[in-house]
Amino acid sequence: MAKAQAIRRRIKSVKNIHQITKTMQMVAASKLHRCQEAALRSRMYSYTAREALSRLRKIVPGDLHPLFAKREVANELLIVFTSDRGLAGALNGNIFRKLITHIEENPTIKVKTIIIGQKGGQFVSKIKDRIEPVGLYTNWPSEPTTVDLRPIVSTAINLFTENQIDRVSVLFTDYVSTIRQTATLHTILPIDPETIAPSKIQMEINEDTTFEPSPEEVLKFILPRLIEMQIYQANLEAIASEQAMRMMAMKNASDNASDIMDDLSLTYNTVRQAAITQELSEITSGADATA
Amino acid sequence: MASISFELVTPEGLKLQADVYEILVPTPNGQIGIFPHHMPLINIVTPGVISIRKREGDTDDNLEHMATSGGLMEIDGKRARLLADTAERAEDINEMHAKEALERAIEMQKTAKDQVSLAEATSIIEQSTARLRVAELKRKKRRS
Repeated sequence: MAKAQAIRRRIKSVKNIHQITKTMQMVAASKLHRCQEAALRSRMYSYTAREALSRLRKIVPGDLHPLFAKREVANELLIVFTSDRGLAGALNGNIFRKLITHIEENPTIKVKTIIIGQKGGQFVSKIKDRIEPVGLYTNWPSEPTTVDLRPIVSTAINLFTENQIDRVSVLFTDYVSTIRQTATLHTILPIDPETIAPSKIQMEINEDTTFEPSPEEVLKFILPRLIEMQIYQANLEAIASEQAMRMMAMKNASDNASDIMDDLSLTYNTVRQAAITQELSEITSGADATA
Repeated sequence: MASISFELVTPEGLKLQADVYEILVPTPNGQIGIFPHHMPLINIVTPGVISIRKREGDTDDNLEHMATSGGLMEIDGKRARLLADTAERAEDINEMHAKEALERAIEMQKTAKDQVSLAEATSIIEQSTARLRVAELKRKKRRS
């Protein structure tokens, strides 16, 4: 009977786990809904902004703004979006793998990082000899605004214009759909008209476009905004991905817990039945002996 | 009838997509009107009111007004596209809130200690003023 009791205890603990993972799944699902909406809403703006950047870059001379400057890449800044909490499937693992691959593929480039998320902070502290952390932001809001990102954006722009950095990229998890999210590395500075342009360009590129008040003023006004927007969009995608992956991970965990519960119940019943049968046969054999 | 295809995109999504006759936008050098076949132009839009005339014969009372906090206007001859930080129709504007925000921002501007808070106060003032202006235009239209 001791065995049956042990199984019963295990069933109880698995049931608790099931309850917790189920709740986490529901929480992630409801958060996902909001984050997904936010990411999809601003996607159009972000695409249009990228198109505008690409057009601008093609119309004006390349030396008109410091953010257009293409240099030999010796120092690179990576803005890495990870999560503050774990239990989100392969979310952070995929990002870290991409980060390591990137470092190994570019041995001559000195990589500096700005990390968003506790998990990323823990990871880079382990590979300090290969990258140089510049900034770490933890307890990131679950619904960030462009204001939250401003210090990151201005750091990136300043380092780039001061020639301390020759390239700025964002590493984030792109939210493709609820079941598909991919770790993506995207270069945002210098502004390259080819890589930045979305797949379909809607507006014509006219060489004789007029600028009001002047090309310099327009660029000075709009470039920081468009760059901020790209980083913001990456952040929204990353957050939506985090919730989607957590939801899936927790769904799998709940399903597993259910399976284990079923298995354990079956074993428990068998053991219990065996015990009863044994007891019965003991009683009958005892009765036979006294008769 | 001549018309220009106009798109108004904000981080909140596509706010407007229509073939229109005239678009009035605020710029650093004053308000400009954009008509069909406008020459290719890229210009800064400052915080203020955007007014849209849908058809050629429409009177000023039938203009559609929106409050914006600024952005970038692109015109390539056939299409006009405005990438704006915000764009709100009169229906989406709470006049009370805008008025309160304006008063608070004016107060903030007076007591601002550094450039950042001063810039923030100024931008709130500009945006609230644009909102109030749109709400006022809407009210005028209803009365007439």
